[in-house]
Amino acid sequence: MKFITMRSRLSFLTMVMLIFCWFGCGATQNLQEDWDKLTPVEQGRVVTHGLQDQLKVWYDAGQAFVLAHPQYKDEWHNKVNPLFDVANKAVKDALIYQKTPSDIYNQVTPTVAAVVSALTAWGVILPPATQ
Amino acid sequence: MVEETNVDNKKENNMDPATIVMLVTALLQVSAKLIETGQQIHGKSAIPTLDEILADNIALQARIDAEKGVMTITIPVVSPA
Repeated sequence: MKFITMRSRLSFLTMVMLIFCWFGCGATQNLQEDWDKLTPVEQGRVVTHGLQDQLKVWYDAGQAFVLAHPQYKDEWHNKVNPLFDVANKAVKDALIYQKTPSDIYNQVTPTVAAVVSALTAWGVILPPATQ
Repeated sequence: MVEETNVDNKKENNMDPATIVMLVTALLQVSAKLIETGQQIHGKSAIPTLDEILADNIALQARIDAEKGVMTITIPVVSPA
């Protein structure tokens, strides 16, 4: 009896997983098709807008963390704030020169990654793999 | 002895409530951002203009400079008529 219950649960879970995969594949395919319809400049604007918003969210989170934990104030001033400075200026360059997504990933992402690793080390944000 | 160890483990596993709120808020913001970006790609909402993104960039730069103790001077850009 137990075996049958376990088996039916497993088959139910398998069905749910299959439905999720089916919907997931459909959604990503549509997303890719719509993404391909955008011009490189529009794609670049979507990416930079995302990065810009993300930087603001992380800056808010960093400031709130330092307010709650004043022992990190020096590190914030000397290490993390300058990293934000570099990353924000890199995003500005990408905006002004209207770079394409591949340029942005090559030039801006390393500076943003430095911010992410500094904030992840503090526990302010989750590592990218779990976000 | 075992009970003490369990209590110690519980203490170690407890997270600062402020940090939990911060992480949940950040997670919600990331989710909202993903939905917003998806709508922009699907054409359901407008892609922000260059000026809008630049305004956000300048606002964040002013905050970074204020933290550094540097005064930011913003020169208004007048678009040609």
